[in-house]
Amino acid sequence: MGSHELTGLINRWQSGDDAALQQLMPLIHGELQRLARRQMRGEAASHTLQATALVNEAFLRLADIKVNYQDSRHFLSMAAKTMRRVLVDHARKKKSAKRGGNIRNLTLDENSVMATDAPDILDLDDALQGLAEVDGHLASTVELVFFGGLTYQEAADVQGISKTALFDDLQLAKAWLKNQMADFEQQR
Amino acid sequence: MNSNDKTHWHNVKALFKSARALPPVARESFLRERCGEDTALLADVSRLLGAETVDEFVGDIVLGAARETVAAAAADRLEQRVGNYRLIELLGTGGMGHVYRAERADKEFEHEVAIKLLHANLKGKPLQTWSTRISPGSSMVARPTMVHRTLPWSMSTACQSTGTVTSGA
Repeated sequence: MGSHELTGLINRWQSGDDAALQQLMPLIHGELQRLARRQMRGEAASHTLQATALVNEAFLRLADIKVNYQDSRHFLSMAAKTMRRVLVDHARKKKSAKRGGNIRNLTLDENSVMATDAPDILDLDDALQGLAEVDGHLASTVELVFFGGLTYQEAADVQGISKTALFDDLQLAKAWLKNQMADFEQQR
Repeated sequence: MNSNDKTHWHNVKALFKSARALPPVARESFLRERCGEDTALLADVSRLLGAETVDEFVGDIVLGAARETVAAAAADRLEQRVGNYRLIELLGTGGMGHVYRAERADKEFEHEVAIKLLHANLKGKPLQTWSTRISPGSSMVARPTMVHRTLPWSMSTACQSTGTVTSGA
């Protein structure tokens, strides 16, 4: 899929052309599916089906966002953000369902202490928000690679930097996030 | 972030990258020399270098969350009723929705069907596109790809084709 083709369709759709959306859907779907397969790379083939389900949800959310997609770079960033939102929303929902259960959950046993201590996607999301305040570029790099499933080269292209620079950025970002999550744990 | 903070972060970033290029034993003296009186800078860069990791903890957290989300999305539908049928197993997932094995919920008679539901976010209402009898012992359950392939076809084609799959099993 050429990025020009995608951009043209997205613009037509944004200006109210429903026929463009019909053409757009399989394209976007294919694109996101590719992202999700990468996300699950190294997994057994059966996970590809599951990745598809995840991607469906990501795409449908993406289709709801009425923004003016400037180009496919912007699109890849939106896809990564969408993936992040899907995962975080699910984790929040699960957490509040657990809390809503009953008050006896307040009793701590060894298992529940261990379960809450392991940093989860919500901790990562909070830490990533903190990183975005310090350095938006680093935070979006993390988003593209880990939530968007882009390769280092693709992410470097989106960010307009060299692959080496991207790798350096990721090392710094991961170290920063690790410290931040360790600080969260201290505060609990 | 005020301009002091910005300068500080800019310096942290630059020193982290320069120090990483050096062998670990040479880093401390390099940082002490470059930071001079700025103990906050030295502390921040040192802590980041100490946290630098080869493990993929960020990737692992994301992958774990993706697995949970995906599994929950599919499981959400199980045990739900669609008309007189109860969904009992996810057979496969396609571009637009999931296909489930379902059985009569009222136990009036034994009848298993395959039901395709559009993805929940596509308007949120289940759409039963086609259904057909699954004979007992049919291997259809074990062959979700066959089910998946019939989906885009018209209803009559799907039933015909599924009949072939079932009888050939």
